[in-house]
Amino acid sequence: MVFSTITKHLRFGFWLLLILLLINLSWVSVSYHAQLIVSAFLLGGLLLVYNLSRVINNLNWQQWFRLLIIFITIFLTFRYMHWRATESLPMQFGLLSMICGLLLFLAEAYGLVNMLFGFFINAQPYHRKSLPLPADPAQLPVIDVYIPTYNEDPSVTRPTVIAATQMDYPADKLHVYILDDGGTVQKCQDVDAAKAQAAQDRAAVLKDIAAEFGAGYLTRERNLHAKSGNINSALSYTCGDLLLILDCDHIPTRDFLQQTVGLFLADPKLFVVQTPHNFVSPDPLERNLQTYEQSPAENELFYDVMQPGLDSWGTSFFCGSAAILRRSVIDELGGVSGQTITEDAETTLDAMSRGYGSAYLNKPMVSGLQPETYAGFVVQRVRWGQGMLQIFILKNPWRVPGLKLVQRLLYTNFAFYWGFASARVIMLLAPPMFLVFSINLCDATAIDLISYAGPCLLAALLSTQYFYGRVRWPFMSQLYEVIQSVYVTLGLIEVVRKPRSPSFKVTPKGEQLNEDYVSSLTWPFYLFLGFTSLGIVMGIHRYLTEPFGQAAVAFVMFWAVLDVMLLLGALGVMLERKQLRQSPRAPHDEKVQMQLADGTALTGECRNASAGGAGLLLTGQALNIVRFKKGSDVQLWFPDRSRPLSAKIINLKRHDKNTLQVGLAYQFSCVEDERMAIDIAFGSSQQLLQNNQRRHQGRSIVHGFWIVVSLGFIYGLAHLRFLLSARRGGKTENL
Amino acid sequence: MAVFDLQAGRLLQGLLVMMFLTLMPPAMAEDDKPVIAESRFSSQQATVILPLSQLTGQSGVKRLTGIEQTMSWGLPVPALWQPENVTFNINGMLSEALIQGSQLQVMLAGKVIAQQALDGRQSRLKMSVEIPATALKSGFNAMQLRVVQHYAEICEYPMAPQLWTEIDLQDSYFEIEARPRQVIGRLSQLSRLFDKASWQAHRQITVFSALTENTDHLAALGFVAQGIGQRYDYIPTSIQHQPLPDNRQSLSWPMSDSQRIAILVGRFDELAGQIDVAKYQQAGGPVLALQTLPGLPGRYLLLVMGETDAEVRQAAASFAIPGVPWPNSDWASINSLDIPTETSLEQRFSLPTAAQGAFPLRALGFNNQTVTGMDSPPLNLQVWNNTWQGRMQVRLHLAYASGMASQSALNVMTNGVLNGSIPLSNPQGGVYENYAVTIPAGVMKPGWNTLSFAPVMIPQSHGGECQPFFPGNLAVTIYEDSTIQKFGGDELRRLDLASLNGNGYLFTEQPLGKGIAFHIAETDSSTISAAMTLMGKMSQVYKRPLLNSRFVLGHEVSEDDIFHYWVGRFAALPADLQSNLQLALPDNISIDVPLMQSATVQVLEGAEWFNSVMDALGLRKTPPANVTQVGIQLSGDFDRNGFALSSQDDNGQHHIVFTAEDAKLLQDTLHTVVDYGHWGQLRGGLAFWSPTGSTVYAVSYDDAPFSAYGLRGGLGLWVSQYPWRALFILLGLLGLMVWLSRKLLKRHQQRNQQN
Repeated sequence: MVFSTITKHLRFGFWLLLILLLINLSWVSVSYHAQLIVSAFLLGGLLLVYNLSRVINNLNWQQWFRLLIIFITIFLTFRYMHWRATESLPMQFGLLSMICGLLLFLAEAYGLVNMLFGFFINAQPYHRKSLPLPADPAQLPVIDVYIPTYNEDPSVTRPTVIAATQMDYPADKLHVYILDDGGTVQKCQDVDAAKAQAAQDRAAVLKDIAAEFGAGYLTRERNLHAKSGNINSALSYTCGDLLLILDCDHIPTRDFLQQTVGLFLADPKLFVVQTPHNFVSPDPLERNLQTYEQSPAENELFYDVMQPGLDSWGTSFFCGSAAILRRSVIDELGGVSGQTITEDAETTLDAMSRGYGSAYLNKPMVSGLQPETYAGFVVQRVRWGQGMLQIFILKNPWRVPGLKLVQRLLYTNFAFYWGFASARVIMLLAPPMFLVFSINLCDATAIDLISYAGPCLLAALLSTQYFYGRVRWPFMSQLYEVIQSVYVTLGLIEVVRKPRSPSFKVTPKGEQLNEDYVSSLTWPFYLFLGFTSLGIVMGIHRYLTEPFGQAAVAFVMFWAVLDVMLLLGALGVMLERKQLRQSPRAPHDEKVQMQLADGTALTGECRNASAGGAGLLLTGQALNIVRFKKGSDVQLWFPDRSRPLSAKIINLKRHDKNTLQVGLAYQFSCVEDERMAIDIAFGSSQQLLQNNQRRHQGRSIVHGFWIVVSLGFIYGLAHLRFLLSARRGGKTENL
Repeated sequence: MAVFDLQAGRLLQGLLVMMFLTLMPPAMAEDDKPVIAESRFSSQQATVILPLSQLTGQSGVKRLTGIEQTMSWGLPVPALWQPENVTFNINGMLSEALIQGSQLQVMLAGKVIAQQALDGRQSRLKMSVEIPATALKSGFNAMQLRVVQHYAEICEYPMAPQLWTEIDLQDSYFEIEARPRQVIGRLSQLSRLFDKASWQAHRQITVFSALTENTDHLAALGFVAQGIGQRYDYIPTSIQHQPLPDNRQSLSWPMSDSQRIAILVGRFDELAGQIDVAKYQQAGGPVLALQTLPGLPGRYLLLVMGETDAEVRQAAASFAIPGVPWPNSDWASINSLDIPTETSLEQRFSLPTAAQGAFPLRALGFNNQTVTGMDSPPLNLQVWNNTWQGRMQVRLHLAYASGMASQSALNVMTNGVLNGSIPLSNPQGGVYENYAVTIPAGVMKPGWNTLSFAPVMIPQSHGGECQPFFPGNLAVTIYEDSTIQKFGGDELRRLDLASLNGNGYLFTEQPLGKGIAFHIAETDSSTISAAMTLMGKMSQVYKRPLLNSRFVLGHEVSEDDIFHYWVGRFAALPADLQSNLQLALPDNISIDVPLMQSATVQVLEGAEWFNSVMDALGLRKTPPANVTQVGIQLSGDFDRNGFALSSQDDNGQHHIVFTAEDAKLLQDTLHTVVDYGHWGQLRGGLAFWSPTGSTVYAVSYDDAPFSAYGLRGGLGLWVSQYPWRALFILLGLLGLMVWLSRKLLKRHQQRNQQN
């Protein structure tokens, strides 16, 4: 035992020694020749490993590939950053240049640290499996399902309540509650009579939904402490062993509890099991740039890659919804924490400090809605960023007792991550500052850039592609960073100035957009675009008139052109497109038979489904002799389901003689019909998994680059055209 | 500490003349060579012969090549002399290939005053040109010799080697007949009386004052010395102190024939025997006045007077400031003189630290300079390096003209070693705002270093092959806001005599001489003469009056003093100072002779950044270089020499001592050492010279080049030399790292992830 401990420590000590040696080697100044040879060879090795990783799927091999890619990239990046720190800082060009140059360097240093955190998290992701439940229902814990809601339309909550009440679990041990913070006494007695009436009407509808589907309805006196206060209030009315928290738009699959509850039975110290937030509607970028069908969802990078990595280090955390919490721990903590506006991560931190653990099960089991508009997206991201920074400031993980070192480190990273916004602002400002004001930001020659910056950049692209290529197209992250940069930065500044000032703002969901309009939050990006475009014009002028600095001007102009494409892409996101469809429709694969009023039965496949309808693809020669009409009533028979569903044809599209696409709106005759519709659309976690995997088709670096450039051109210019043609400011939103 | 020294303009040409005069060995005065006629300047007409070599600062011949070339110089005409007949005799050789159409032009102030065909059939060049005396003005007159040379009627290669004319600089000379010129004795004419344009190499000024130990009086003498030094700018000047004579007639006897002005310093009551002070006394306050010596037209007496010694000091201080616009009258009283307070000057003189100092070339005395034409001389900049091992970076702001060939470049060299070449290759011309050239450790030696900006400018068309030749628009301007920065290195704390050479004040000067004290060992005229000569020289070195410096008797020490200049005979120096010097006159001197220098050169390793931070925090010092030296004690005729020594006492005070066996010898040796040739030879910790010799004997560590380097580390060098081996080892380390990380992660997984 003692020998084993000594061996373990020796091994770790040797590892540390090797790390120090490699760091020192990465700082050795060598000739360009040597630097180029070493860099080229390592890049070649990196490319080889990357390509091998795409053909060899063995997990053990993948682990070796993963570490090789990490260490080669770190080595090349360290060499670059050392060169940046020691050779390229513009300390000789005046105070302004020095300050701007240092800011740029800080932005790059931020990128390095962020990359190191990313590598650390992803060094060995943990692919957790669910555990089976005991056969004896008596051994199963009692589950309380909380569906907090505030101001969302009841139609958003309705499918969630239906799905929650039909999850596979003994009925006597499953209690579903709508926690209505929009129907509090405070809201219903608002001094504004119209608001009060609206709150009362909404509460009445929710009560009806609860009563109709066998759920409970809970509300409270006052709206204190936002979501955490809402949940804590409900705790006094319920007494389940486990709490399943579902945002009101997060429709659970039938097997949610079957997949997750077993983990609690196996580990009494487990506090939370988090599952991915799976979305069946596009975010504003996907919607306005029309990438939703092909591109992986933005949040998948976090839920599909980062959370498994965090889980391997025991630091996956509660994300506010689609997670089960142990009630006894909540009681021990005195309720869900509410010091910050990210009560979820904060509560996890508190539980961890008491020795409880977290788990992440990477299986999509909810179907949720993304914020429809850019403004809603910003509200959501600013809240996350502010909350994480609040946690770092108000509950500094380095001062909270009981945490492990790695937990402290990674909770630091959760706050540190949001620095990307400020770094991106600096990166956007850097090229025009150089081109317009001739402020030197980096003192480098072409050979310096080729020797140090080139290998680092290529290694970073390759490693990013390796780790995230499946769930994020190349350069899409930059686009997401750009659209968040300004407002997240402002939000973080607010937290730094007054850490307790931010209040919880609910992400608006289920919004309808009746017309195209430009988001009122666009103006900073006009400034960026104008400044960068001016930079390009000045760059052309300087290129033609300052032949002595052509290389540097050309390099920065290339950078500026890239930024312009990203900014145009961002403008494309901010041109909100009209959206009329009310309920989200998810891809679906299930055999179906459609019976017409005259008794004719046609077979086909259900290709997509929503809470209110389905899309069928009918095939067969019979299609040639049948006459379809919009508005016709039909009945749908699903082979594995016990009863038919009535529907009305609302759309027809013939592909060829033997293939017909039919759009149907369900005609519910009873509650069971609606339950069945929800189950078809959102009940299968296997279906959700398939849907996600369908979008996990990565793009090459070159293709990704081309996509971003084309999106910028097409949608950015469309934005500008819209401005010119409409000559109207558009609808305004307030954060 | 640094000084900029370059060839440009008339003033510098004058400087070179003087330098040459000093450097010229005695053999120059051989009978068959033209020399400066021994001065017989009185009120009578005199003749002077000025060889061209003296005016151009060059010896031997000047070879004018190519299809067209010009040589320039300045012909000085003193304000107190009126040239009457000036003949320019040109001697030399010319190429036998020169054909009709070749010619030599003599130009004065841009106008051709004479020309002669250059005929290759007569290979000797001999030409005598009468220069119209009326066209010559006081000061430096721009003169040029321009040759236009041809060897063929058509298809001529403009740079053909047979196109040459040689001007013999020693055989070509000016013969000037002149008579003294009366200058109106007005204070507004002071600058004409202290005239830089002269036919003499060395100025001598007599200062009369009472012999007294009064502090204010001594300070006044110090200011007077500064005023003299400032007015002569860069020209070596000896100041001869004389006690006040009994009567006015005796004022002229100590003055040599060449002296045109003397200065009288004292209170009204002290000067009453020599001059009529009544009208000045009536005006009250400090007074500056100008008089002619009776019966000696062309000779002047400057009076620095006051009711009290304090007023005399104030009058002298006002004289020390060369920019004062004196009225057009023969006297003026100074009602007030507000010298900037030391506190107000502190910030204006906040200079960078030695190791990390960054400063513009302007701070080194460099002004915007444009170099034009082919074969243009380099711009040289003297940089005082007071650190070991530090590297330096030069960031140049320059502009170059359009029309130059792509091979054109500006080479940056240090001590003759090329450090970087800046392309001037764009045919459309261009501007570099901050072109950085790094001068690595080891190239810069401690002490004075010559930084050269050597333009190589080539026109786009060379002509030849019947192609037209265009001299091109060849020009490059280096701006004074270009910067120099030193990085790292260990500050050299030992004061070297070489730092006296030039305006090497960057790291030593406090506001207007604050912290500098001139100590006079005794108050006899010889010692005062020596001290005033030194004071005048130092104000020239610093290029501004040292109003905050102190000129005191003996060991009077102020807390602010850091640098002490001692002047006195050896026996009169304080005992503690004597014991600190490597000198025991008249018996012996002790000298450390360096044999070898070695240094631990910092190799750029991975830890350089860390080391830099540690350096900045003061937590780490670069290991100093070592000088291996032998100590030797010598006895001999040292009682015939003057000595300069530098030392540092236990309190960190720097002492520079000028001494000799006796006061007269000290005065003579000081008058000698302020000359260009001698002053430039001062270096090391001990130097000595004879008042009549041309050599200063000195030795410093600079004489022993680095001969041993201890390379610390060297991994970077090894990797650079064997990149493939390094790569192999790196891959091994990375593999080991991956393997070990995998083991550790697996273990972590087994321990923490049970299901």
